[in-house]
Amino acid sequence: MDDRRIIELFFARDERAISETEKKYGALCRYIAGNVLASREDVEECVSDVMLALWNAIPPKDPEDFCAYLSKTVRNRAYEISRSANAWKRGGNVTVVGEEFMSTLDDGTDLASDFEAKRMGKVISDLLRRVGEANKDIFVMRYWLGMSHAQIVQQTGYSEGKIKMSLKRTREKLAEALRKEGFTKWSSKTN
Amino acid sequence: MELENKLRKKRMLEALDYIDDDIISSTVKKITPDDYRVAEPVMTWRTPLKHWRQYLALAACLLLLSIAFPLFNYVAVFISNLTGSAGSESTEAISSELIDTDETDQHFTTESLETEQPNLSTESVYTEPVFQYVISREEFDEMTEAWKKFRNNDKAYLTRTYEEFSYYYPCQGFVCVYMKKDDLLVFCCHSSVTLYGEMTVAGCLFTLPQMEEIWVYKDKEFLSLTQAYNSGLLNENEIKELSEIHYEHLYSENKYG
Repeated sequence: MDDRRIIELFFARDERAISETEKKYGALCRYIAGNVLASREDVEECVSDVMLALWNAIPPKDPEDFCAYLSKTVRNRAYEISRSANAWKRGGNVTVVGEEFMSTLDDGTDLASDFEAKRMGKVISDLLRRVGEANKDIFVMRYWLGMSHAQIVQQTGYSEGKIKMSLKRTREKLAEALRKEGFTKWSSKTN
Repeated sequence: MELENKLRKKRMLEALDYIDDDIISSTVKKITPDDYRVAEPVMTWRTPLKHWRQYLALAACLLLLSIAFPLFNYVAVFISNLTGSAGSESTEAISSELIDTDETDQHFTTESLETEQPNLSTESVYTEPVFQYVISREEFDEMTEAWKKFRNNDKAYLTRTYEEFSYYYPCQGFVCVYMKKDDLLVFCCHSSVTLYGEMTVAGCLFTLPQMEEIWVYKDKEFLSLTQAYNSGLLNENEIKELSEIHYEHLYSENKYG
């Protein structure tokens, strides 16, 4: 079923909206949540929570891109569950990916006061539009979806070496872009 | 420093959340999630300990149940015997007294049994049978052999062990005797047969594939009611009375269990 039709079902308060969402995106939701959470029970809880959240949010929310909205909702909920249950220890891959991405930043950066998440998100988006489709996909898969190198290899067909190199170069470009945008104490230091 | 790192991670995740929808969507739609995986769990001391505690609690519950349940059963029977004997009479004493009684041709109706056997308390058992006839192990063995012979060793009529007989609700070692005449014993060996034919025998001597049966036991042999009537052991009036007792026993709002 078309995403727009699913949203119409939500607006009509038709419970088929949930079943159709589950049918079309259930596996994807579990995949996204599964990269963050450590147990299948948590994943199922996450997906259930998201379905309920969608039901409560739409309407009035009318997402232009339902897939992205759903994916972000799943990701956020998965991190919430992860944090509430001894987060970083349980989702091992999350910690690794988070640390890797954090290496883009200078240790001296005063994130507590200077970090502007929304503005940085804009910088990242602009960069990803410039780095090419393949590099963009690899970056999103690794840092947004929290996928392992092996998973990215499986999904893209690229070699692991190419993936690691792509990530390194994109991080370097990101660090440079952030510095240009005036984020204080930014450096181009990357691992 | 640790707090700062946590904050960095949090803000970093927030920044990633502000990546434009179309970028996320275009990548996510390329993923073919045949199956999802869960992140590698990092073993901490809490997880196994939690399970360990659960197993321990479960084991403790099972242990308590295994001790308490048979104990409860034995206590119930013991109290029943103790209060029922009104003194020093043992189970076997009650049994032999009932068998060796000199009263002949006595019909045990509900009323007469309740008045004539006040010492056989029913408080400790779940039912109020017409007559609680305590069966000793020896008698049980004899009756079992007789039963096998009566049923031609048909596997459909499997016998119970004495322990099973003594254990199952509601009789717990008793059978419901409707009539005792000399050494003739007429009793109901009722079984709780569900509507679907599943046997859930409750305290019977034997497992019976049908309910509402009355059995006659004499000289270590079983007879059906018809056989007892045809052989002159029971007369027509007695058969009629037995039917009434039996009906009341089974259907009168569980008056007798």
